Amino acid sequence: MIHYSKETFLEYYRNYTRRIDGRKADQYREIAIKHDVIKTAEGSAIARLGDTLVVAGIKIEYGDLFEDNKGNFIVNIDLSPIAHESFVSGPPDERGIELSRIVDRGFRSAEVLNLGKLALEAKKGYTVFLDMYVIDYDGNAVDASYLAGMAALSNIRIPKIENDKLNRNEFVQDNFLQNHVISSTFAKIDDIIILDPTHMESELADVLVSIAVDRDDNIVGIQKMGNGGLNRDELDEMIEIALKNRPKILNRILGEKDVKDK
Amino acid sequence: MRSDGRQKDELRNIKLEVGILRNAKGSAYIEWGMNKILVGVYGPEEAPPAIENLERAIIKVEYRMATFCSLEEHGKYVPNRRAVEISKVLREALSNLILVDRYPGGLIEVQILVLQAEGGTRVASFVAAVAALIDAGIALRDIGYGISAGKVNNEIVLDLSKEEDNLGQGDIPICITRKGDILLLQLDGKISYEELQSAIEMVRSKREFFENLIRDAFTRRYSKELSNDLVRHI
Repeated sequence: MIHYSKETFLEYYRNYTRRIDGRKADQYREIAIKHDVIKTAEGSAIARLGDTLVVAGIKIEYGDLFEDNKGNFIVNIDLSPIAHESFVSGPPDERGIELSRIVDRGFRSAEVLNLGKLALEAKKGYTVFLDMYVIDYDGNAVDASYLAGMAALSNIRIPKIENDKLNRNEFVQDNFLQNHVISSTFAKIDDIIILDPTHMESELADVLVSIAVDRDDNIVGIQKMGNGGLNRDELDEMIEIALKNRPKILNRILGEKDVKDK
Repeated sequence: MRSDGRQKDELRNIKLEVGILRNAKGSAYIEWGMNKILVGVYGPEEAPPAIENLERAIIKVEYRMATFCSLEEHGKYVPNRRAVEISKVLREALSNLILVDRYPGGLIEVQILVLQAEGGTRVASFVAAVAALIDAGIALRDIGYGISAGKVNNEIVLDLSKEEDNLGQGDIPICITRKGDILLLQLDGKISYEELQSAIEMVRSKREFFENLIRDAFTRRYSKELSNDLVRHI
């Protein structure tokens, strides 16, 4: 990682209208996605956003439901110690818990999965575990996790139930996916708003804001992070960019089943 | 002939790539049959005072399985007893290879994440860890490698698949150096002394294969203009 100060960032930006890594303010880093990379999972993907890498895998279980007539859906993201020297093994810290909860809420609010269909009886049905491992980290794990998670959900396979048990070799011929969601995370450094901050940029930021939008342009999740404040114009600018990016990013997730070289 | 058609000393397909993670000081990705394993090495850095040893480096090894790595049910989020044991025996094997007195007061951390498992993950992890340590520039006294031998249909064979492990009469993971020093040895099953000797001999006979595997991975790493991208390899 290249280290630089806030002053260096601001001076560079004011002179060249570019960030230190050469990007414009509203530009994502390179995105690469590969579907179905884990054969033992019931849906999987790997996503890279710059140098942040996330592997997502789905496991399906069958049993009691938490809520009547609704399948269980559990999202968990692990900031693996393999990804960064500041990530430690053991129970997740507040960063890891916040990350899991942000992504969980976005998928849930967007009703990405049809949970009604995942209930087979009032109190019995499927549990979908969507687990993600951040395996390399250079900032913005939120957007990278949405990319990996959404890509994995797009190839989810629900095993059939036979004799009250899962048969993991046979799959239900039905579509359980009913919405798509992406996330755009912004950093505010002084009065400059940038999309998809690197780790260094987020260290300099006063405020970070993650905004999730679904395919119908509903806003399905917001998280403001950091000690700084945010005014209305700044929020408007972020939401505009998030909505503008949605079709392009969704195409990356759903359209491209293979990785393209740079 | 074995259930998947292999000869008794034939290994499954193995693919090794090094330098695939940006943050880790050294890294390796191994595909061995259906196994997919990622290893990252951090350090040497200063060990925390509570665990430091001023004579030598402290080695920390953590073997973890992703919750979706098995064909069966969803795995637990916390390491189970098996993972704790594997972390320990791998740490001991790797500590033997690393020239620990070159790094007094240091800490070297080896992080192993099994993304997809199909039998033989501990020896595959060992091979990837050796490659990741070399990638990190950590001084080793020798190259090491490992293979799980086993007894299937009353015959000693190399590199048990998950199916063979489940039906077999014995599983013998072995990690050794090129010189033949045994660094990791376990047996789960019942075999004769002669069978054990033959298992060790068969593992020793694969020395050149693993030397080439590791050398070729580094040749690829340093002959590439594009950075090594895991998304491409996985």
